[in-house]
Amino acid sequence: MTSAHDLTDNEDDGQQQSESQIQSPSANGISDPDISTQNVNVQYATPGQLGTGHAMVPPVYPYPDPYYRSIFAPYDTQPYPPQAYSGQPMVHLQLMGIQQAGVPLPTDAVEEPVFVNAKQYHGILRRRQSRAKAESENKVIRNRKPYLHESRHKHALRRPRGCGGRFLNSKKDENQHDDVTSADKSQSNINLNSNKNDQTSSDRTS
Amino acid sequence: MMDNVGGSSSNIAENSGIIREQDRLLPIANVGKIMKQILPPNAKISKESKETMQECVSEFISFVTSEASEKCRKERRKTVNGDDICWALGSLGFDDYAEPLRRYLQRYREQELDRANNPPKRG
Repeated sequence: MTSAHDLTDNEDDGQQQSESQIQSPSANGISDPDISTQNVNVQYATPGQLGTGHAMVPPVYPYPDPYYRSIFAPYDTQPYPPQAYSGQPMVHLQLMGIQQAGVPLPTDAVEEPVFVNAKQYHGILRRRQSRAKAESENKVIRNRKPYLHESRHKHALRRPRGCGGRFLNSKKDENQHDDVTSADKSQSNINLNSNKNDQTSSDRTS
Repeated sequence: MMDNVGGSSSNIAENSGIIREQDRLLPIANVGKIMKQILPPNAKISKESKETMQECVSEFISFVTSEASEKCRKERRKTVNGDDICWALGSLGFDDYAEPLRRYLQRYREQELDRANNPPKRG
């Protein structure tokens, strides 16, 4: 039993490492906001990444789905996947001309214009202003704290841990107790475990 | 919920209008649970994925809410209600989401009416 469990942990660790390697560009993108001069670039570059087909697919995923659906709905016989968009900008521009549904979005950081759903144009500009205002007033905490509550962090540090770094007393009763408690505590626990040990994070995730 | 500001690593005062992480983003545990619902039982989700999705969904909420709020501002109303959110989704081109949400909102209101007409009996 124990040896099988360890093997499973090793597999999970491998997967975690692979995921971290694959997602390194995304991590770089996330870490960029720390620099004040690049905050504006990152903020305005996000639509640029949408236009240039950057590797950061997950962050922009919610937008292109209805966007492409609204654009290519009349052409059901010729569906264009998002990847083809970056590879064929001319075709996309022609479709823009035909549909008249895309509006070039002004971007300071990106040379090429980024076309967005016309319905979302004003909303995107409005959100940009709101984010810029929040940043100028220094209201947004860019650096994520490893934990939200100091007392809970200290409590987790004092808990006994077994080999591999997992908490010793984590049984079914403990799990039920965690379920009963508030979402905040659950969030705190996951953050603590994630920061302390990847294996523990895997355990919580599974 | 007690937030130990003095002991935390952040030296920013809480009353200076700072938007805290827990106020700007959805809780990461809830986001992870929702993401897990659509995945096979043995799937793993990295913390980076959850954080990225946290940013995406929080921005989407602000995006739709600002559209609804703009409509309320023009109509000189102070309260943003469910109909405004449904309208905002349609206005932004998310028609495929607006229709299911309208049906959800209708059922939600019917449920509220049932509760109002049939209050639970006291034990």
